[in-house]
Parts: sequence; structure tokens; C-alpha cells
Amino acid sequence: MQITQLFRTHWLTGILLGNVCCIAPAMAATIDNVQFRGFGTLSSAYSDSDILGFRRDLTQRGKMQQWQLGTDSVLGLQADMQLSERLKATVQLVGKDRVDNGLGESVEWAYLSYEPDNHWRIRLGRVGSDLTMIGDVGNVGYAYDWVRPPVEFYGAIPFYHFDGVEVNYRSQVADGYLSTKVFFGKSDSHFVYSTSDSDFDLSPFWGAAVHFEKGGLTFKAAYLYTKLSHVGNARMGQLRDALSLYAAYPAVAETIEALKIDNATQYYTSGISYRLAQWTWLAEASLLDSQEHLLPKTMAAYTGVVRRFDHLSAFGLLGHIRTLSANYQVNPLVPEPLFSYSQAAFNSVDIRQSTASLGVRWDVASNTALKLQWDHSWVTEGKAMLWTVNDGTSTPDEQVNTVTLSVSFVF
Amino acid sequence: MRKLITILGCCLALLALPSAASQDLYVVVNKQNPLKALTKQQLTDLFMGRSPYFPSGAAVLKLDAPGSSTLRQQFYHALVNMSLPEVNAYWARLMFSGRATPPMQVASENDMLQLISQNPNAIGYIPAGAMNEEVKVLFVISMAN
Repeated sequence: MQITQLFRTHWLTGILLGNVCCIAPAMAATIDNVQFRGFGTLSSAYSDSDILGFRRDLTQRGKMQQWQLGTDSVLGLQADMQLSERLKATVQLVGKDRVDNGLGESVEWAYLSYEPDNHWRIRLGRVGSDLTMIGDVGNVGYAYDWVRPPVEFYGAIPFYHFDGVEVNYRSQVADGYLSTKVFFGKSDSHFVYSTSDSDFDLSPFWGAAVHFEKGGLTFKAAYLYTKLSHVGNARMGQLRDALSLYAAYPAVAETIEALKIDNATQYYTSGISYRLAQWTWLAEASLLDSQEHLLPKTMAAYTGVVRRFDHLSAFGLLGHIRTLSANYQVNPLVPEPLFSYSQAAFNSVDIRQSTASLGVRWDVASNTALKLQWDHSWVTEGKAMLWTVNDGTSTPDEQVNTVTLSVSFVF
Repeated sequence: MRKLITILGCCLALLALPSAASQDLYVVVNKQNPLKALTKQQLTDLFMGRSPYFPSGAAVLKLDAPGSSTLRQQFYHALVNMSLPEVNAYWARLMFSGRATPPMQVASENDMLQLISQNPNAIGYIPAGAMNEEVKVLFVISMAN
């Protein structure tokens, strides 16, 4: 039932699947200078809370106590065209369960890449915003061991691409490989909060990143500067309209001001991974630095350990996220019911939770991996923004178990 | 008759290859390729997607042994100490972020030598016993464990 629902509402997925079946035998072949490749994940996740609906990131709507196929299932197709010796074009389409699933959203990237030598690369178009360890391959389940990018770290920042330009320089440094880049452009996304949905632009969207590899060590760090704009949120719009009727009251004017998102947001992230024989240890930490009450300052981090046994790997993860600024307290002089609605809006963006995960990945065939993961989450009272909650309810302290079984493949 | 024996000898040699697991691996290019040698770092950069071209800046056609073959497994184990599932996941990460194109997997180990013989830009790896006159060795991967 859920599968047909997924395909009915996401026609692109159906079309992509149809194409895959027809041209699969020739999939890895080169047609002139074009190479087609693809990836996919079929996953089912069950979460045992009746108050908090599990979701992978803020672009989804979570469900309670139901097996969900839409959380992590995805199908992607990529075409790479070598236009000349140094110039390449790449297009990637991804079908998955998004709130907004038009063609614009489904094009994960579409860019031209120019590599004049072994050092420089310039990319122009819709480019992956590769800032973190999993970077821009979050949709490619086959590329990493967990069933999904750790939710505490990746769930609140589900941007995989931006439209603009990226310049990358690679070199040998201290016997290791160093890649540095700068990028500039704009991005956008659609978030689902418990009380409303929100569309927004991220403009400008610029920053820098470094990536260093030497032997078993990998280190990444990045900086992003962006501004939220054109925030389209129906509920918030209604609230602002209602408040503006009373703008003469200083308390109300103060609240209207607090609901604005005018200032820039800065994002700092770093990650490290160290592999020794069959063990890997990794950790990532980030800080979202914002002065806005509706987009609070947030810290997120996780660490993990993986033990590989040839075709099997076992892992454990521990993640945490919390907002660092206290909730904005609406001036009590604001008349009801506007006071309650306003306070609810400020409370709904609060996050504090931790998750411990255990799982295995089994490479059953070349290019196919089976994964099983159990997550146990501790979510603090009233700070459940990463989950879907029933409208208007304030959540208590809650512990949730989530079990996920998935199969990921590339072709 | 002599031709027949030569052909049979070659066939036997080729058949014997898969089981000769203790042989060194040779990283080879076409004899016409101007490159004289490669360091392990340069070889790793090529086969792990960090360098899109030869150190000279010339275009390169990277060839990989068939997907799950012992040859491929030995190559990556010796080069970066990774198992094949890890190498596949690593390449999926690079490929689907558009950052690099993986080496092209040949259909069979015999094809590797043939493709390199025919293509001055190609680079690949073969067991030591499979050498012929069309290719030259740039790097030796010792299998002595």
C-alpha cells in the first residue's frame, strides 16, 4: 500500500524505474560519450513512539508506530557526458519522498565541470554542497555504512546542493592529499515543522571547505555563510497579519520584530575519520551560529566506531544536538490568543536530543548492501523539532526506538 | 605445428594465471606512453580518484580488473589496504558526487592487456606472468606477505 502510494504521488520515481528496467542491461555501457549510472535504496523504518513521528530530516513528514518506506527509500540516476577532454557535464535526478516533488526539486544536480589539470577544477550550475563527511552523497546509501546520515547532525541541515560556482584546488601537502575550495551561489529548501510548512531561499550561499587525506586519516572542515529569505510560511504569515493589527502595542511590535529572520546565518563544521587495520573511528561536530529567535544557535555532533569483517561491518554511533540559545519568551502583555500562538511558534524550533545506534552492513553482492540498524533516542521535553508531533501538543521527555532494514545498491 | 604449440602454451599460461595468487602485480601502460615510472602516491591518486590525469597532465584511461576478481581484490588490498566492498563504497561516494570517474572494469583479465596494447593512454594492472611486448611496467606491487 505504501509502495503504490509512493509511486502514485511521485511520478518521477515511476518513470525512472520504468526506464531502469528497459535500459538496465546497457546501463553501465558508454553511449557515445555519455555514461549512465544509478543508485537506490529501499528501506523500511519503524518507530515505537505514539507522540513523536520519526523522520530522517526536516523536509519529511514522520509517522508514528508505522512501518515507513518513504523515510530512506530513494532512486537516483546520473548521466555524465564528456564534452571535451577537460570539460564534463553531469546531471543527477533523484526520486524520493519529499513534500515538494516537482522536477526542479528532483534535479539533484546539473553542472559543467572543467578540469584543466590535476590541480584545478571549476564547477558551474547546480552543484553538490559537499561540506560534511557524508557531504553530498547522503542519498547514496551504498556509499556509507549507516542506514541514513546520523539524524542529529544531518537532519537539521538537509541541503545537498546549491546553484552557483565552485572552484577547487588539489595538491600534495605533507605527504598527504589536500583539497581546498570556495563556492558561491544560492540554495533553497522546504521544511516541515509541527505547526506549519516553510519554504525558503538561502541567498547568498557562499563559503569554503578543506579536505585532507593521509593514509588512514581523513579530515574535513567547512564554513558557510547564508541568509534565509523569502520565507514563505502560511501559518506564520497569518500570525504576523494578526499581530500587525495590534502593532501599536509595544509588546506586540516587539513580538513581530522577534519573528523576523533578517540576519545572516553562519555554519561551521568539521569531521575526522581514522582507519587502522579493520577499525575506523570517526566524529563530526558543527555549530549553526544565528542571531534569530526562529532559527536558534545550534550545536550538533556525533561519533562512531566501525569494525569491518571483509563483507560485513558492524558499527555503533552516538549523536547529540541541542539549541544553545534559550527560547524566546513572548512579552506577557501580548493579548491572547496571540500570546499562545506566538509562544508556540518560538517553542516549536527548539531541539535537544541524543541517539545511540547499533547496526550492521552486509555486502551481499558486489554493488548491493543490506543494512539493519537500531536507534534509541532520548528526546527532551518540548524540544522535539526533529520529529513530527501532533499539532499543538507539547511533548514530554520521550525515549524512542527505531528499527530500520534497508537494501542499497548502485548500477 | 610450432604455431600450435605456441598458441597452446599461451593458452595454458593464461589459464594458469588466476591460480597464481602469489605473483607480483605489474602496473602497466602502453609502450608508447612517455611516462617512465610512477610513485605509489601517484598510482594511488590515479586509482582513488584524486588525479584525473597522468602526472604530466595527459589524459588517462584507467582500467580495473573485473568486479569481484581476485586480481582486483589483491590490487586494492596492496594499494590502500581496503576490501572490495569498501573500495566499491568509496567509489560510489566519488562517482555520485560527480567528483571523479571510476576506472573502467574490463570484462575479463585478458581484455586488460589487449586494451592497454591498443590504447596509448591506458593504464592497468596484470599479474607478473602475463607480461607481453606491447606494454611496459611502471610500478611493481609486491605480493610477498
